[in-house]
Amino acid sequence: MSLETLIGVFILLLLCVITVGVYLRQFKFDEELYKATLAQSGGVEYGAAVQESEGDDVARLEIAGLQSLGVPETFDEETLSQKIDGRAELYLGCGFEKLTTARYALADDPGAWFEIFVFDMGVPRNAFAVYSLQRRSEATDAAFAQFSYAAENALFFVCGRFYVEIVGAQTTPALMETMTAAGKAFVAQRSEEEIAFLEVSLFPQEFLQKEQIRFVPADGFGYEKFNDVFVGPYELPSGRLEAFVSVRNSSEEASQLAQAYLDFLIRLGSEKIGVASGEIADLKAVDLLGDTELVFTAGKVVAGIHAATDRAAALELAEKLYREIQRAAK
Amino acid sequence: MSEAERRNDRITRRRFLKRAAKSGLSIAAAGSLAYWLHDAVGPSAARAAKTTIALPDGSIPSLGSRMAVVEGKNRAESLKRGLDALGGIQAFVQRGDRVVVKVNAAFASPPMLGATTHPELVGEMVRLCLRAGAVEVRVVDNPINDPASCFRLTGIGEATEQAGGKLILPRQDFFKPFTLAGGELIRNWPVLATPLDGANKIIGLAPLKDHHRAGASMTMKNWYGFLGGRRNIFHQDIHNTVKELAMMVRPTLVVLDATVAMMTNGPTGGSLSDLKEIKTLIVSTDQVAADALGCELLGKAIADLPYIAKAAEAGVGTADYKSLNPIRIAA
Repeated sequence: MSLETLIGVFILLLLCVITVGVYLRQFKFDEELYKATLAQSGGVEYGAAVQESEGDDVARLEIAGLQSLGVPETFDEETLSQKIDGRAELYLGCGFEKLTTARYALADDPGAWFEIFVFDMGVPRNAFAVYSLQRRSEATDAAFAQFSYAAENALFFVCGRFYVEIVGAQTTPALMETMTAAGKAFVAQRSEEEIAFLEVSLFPQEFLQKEQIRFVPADGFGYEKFNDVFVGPYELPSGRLEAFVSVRNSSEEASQLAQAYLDFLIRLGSEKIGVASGEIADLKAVDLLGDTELVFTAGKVVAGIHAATDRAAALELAEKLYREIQRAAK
Repeated sequence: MSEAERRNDRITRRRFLKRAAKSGLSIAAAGSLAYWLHDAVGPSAARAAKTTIALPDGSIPSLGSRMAVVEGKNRAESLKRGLDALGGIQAFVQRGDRVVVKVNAAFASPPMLGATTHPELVGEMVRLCLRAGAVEVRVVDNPINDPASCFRLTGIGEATEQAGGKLILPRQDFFKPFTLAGGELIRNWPVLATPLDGANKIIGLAPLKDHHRAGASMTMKNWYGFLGGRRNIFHQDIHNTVKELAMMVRPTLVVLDATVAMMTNGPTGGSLSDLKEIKTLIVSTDQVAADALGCELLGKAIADLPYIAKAAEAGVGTADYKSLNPIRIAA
């Protein structure tokens, strides 16, 4: 048999093998392409949660009297909903990067356990956003972090770029004491500097409900372009008001945003109204179903009063806000 | 090589044409075979439909649509009173029945946080079913978190076993492709089917909860725990998804537990301040009606939860729960 014949036979055999292989392989198609994936189950790898790596100890607590209940779990943007389901959207919309969770119990009482959720939000502003947007109204200051509060069974606080929840399975004093110690240890380990938001310093202090200030990173008041807005609630003798402040990159951007927001409100059915201010030159006002919205700019700042029922009180607060902004600009 | 050998080795035109023809035929044959086997489209819906499974129908048409609303703090007591008002457990479960109790064990969360079905309710339902003569009561869910942790930390696992029920942890081979007749979303999707094999009664036990995405999580959304795969995709059209879930499952009975309801920060909650003691338990054969009343208890309007109207329009039940003349009892 000649060399060419041998090579030819070899190639034919190879082609036959390839053909058989393709024939068999094509029956094992990727179900993912046809939306027929199957759930995994069992252990800490359920739902494709990412295991904690060697160098990732953000949820590790070294406190006397605690026993660890299993291996910490981490979740990224893709898997966050596997831990917190529908609430994932809130975090994803605020710059979420990673969640690490771990469970611990009292060494002498395994039934007294808690879970720590450490949300890495990337930057302190984002951590403050998710903290402030979920802050429970019936809460007491936990006092071990700049932004922190305690509920009957849980602690919530901001530490640098982290938003942390420590949620207990019981409300016993022993468990709450341990959880508080855990929270303090977490903060102490990181030595984070106090967070100072310029926008917060612009709110007039009188009647301001400081613990209820919230940061809305996107979709402020339902308007998709109104991002990076701080909202400060006030409890005035005449009732409740909300002031808002957003610092932009330039005065031009501030003017454009203010006008765009007003146009948005008018599209919703608001009517322009005349509200005269002796101090604020470009104050604009609209009325939406009886609520007054005041909007103005001061340099790079867009500010105003949101959905006020008392127009006179709203104007007074707006002028105070304007003065604070002017004072800060000097 | 000799001159004679070289002369013999030279290919003639005839030999060339023969070889070329043979090669061409081989290539054509291989190409034709490949073309015949090639499937550019992939599995068709028709083919998928042939592989879909059927889910059992647990409904009892002769009972019609009925509802009991029980006011009380004790879940077990409220459940008994509610069932008694509707004819007793024996109206729903008879000797020889195989019952599936679908709980909400979605999160590895302690009972007091209200994110999952309360174990007291699970235990009492299992006991009542067994007393009525059921040969088996299976407690099932496909949790969002690790199943073993969920069933342990919620207390549902222990309550089930103490009551004599059978806890079914989901396994990959328990999921089968299912296509909802008339459905647009649940098509050829893995569903937790094996625990339903041989079952003839389906009971849903759901806590009343706010839900960040859907507005509320109640008896219809409870069936979400039958879905497998990357079910997060359904969040993109959650209201139509819940409608189709309600079309998919025909329960014998649903129980909506509003003894302590999660009013905010659902579905996970986390703080006791998210909860409110409403002291109400809804027992009904109509899951749409149960959810409509649940919506009211959460302080929301029906319009806030579009899936209720969608399910009603699909013929699953009625959003006008008052038309059922609910029997109201104080436990």
